[in-house]
Amino acid sequence: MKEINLKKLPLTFKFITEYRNKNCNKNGEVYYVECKKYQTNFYVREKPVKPLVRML
Amino acid sequence: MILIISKNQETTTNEVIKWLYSIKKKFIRVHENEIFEIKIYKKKIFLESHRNQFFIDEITSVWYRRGGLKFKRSHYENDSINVHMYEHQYWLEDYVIKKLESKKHINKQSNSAVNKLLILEEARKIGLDIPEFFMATDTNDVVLNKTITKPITGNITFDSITEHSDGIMYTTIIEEPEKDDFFITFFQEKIEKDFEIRSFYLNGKIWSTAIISQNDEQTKIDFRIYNQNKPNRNVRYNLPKEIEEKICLLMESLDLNCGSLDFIKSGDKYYFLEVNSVGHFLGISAICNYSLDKEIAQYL
Repeated sequence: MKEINLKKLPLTFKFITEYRNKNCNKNGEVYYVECKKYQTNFYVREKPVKPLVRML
Repeated sequence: MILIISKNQETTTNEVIKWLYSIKKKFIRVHENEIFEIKIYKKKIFLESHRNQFFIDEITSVWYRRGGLKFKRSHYENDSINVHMYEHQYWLEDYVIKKLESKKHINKQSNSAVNKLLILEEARKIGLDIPEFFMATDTNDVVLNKTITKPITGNITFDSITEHSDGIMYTTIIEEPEKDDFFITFFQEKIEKDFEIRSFYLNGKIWSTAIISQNDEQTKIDFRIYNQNKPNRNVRYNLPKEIEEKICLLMESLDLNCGSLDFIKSGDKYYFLEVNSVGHFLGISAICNYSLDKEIAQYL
């Protein structure tokens, strides 16, 4: 990130952690899908996991 | 009918909706980009957007999660008419919001955003221990390595702060003095922690989780800098009764009936850090098997 002028900003800006954003997903994997039932375009696509405590 | 005021991309809302289907409760989900028009039909007020329409009388409970109800405003060429109509429309909107908030609810659009500074003062008044804090525009009074800084805003993330990256502000220890002045910044005494505690509060009931984050250099100062390879251990935890009573007093004084509260356990003290009324809680809920999404669905 470019050097920022802290005179106009709180010191917290000096410590911003950067991470790659969603636009950087170059392998085209889809993590979120549209879902009409839950009325969202951000439904997490994941493998179902059964928590261990539920199997006991 | 339950009214859920949320955002399109909000995972917690999706999980609560799953439970609503399961227990056969009807709901309306409002997104952040919906603009409602206030209309009247047979003397009854109803709201209409491009996705939803409903009478406010048919709403039995409201969950304010994120975003907010927004209304279409008419504008007029004549300035004095415009001033009058601005107020006229404001009071209509205020009436709709207050009517909805007077129903059974989880949090309210009108007071969900909280002031971290006032909350710390309120918590101290109630008798909770808090780490000493101050605001400053230089580091002259900062004790190096024993002071942290963090944002006073609710949102700590930055979308696309550079072309290919987002940004986030975590809690950070001040290790070196600054030569120049900066904008007013929040500083707080760093507490040596035994572990952290995150408590979820819903209408007088509290579910707590101990987050064993102090043994990992990466999560020692802020557990949200998750170590994905070796995650912190999170376990169910019971806060002492007197701390739970003070949490209830604090939430009542803030007029919040739902929220996540952060504490640090250090020796025999529990230091209160902050309340987040719209925070994430599904992670610890799943690990501790608290089913907080189900609790919310059942309450509504």
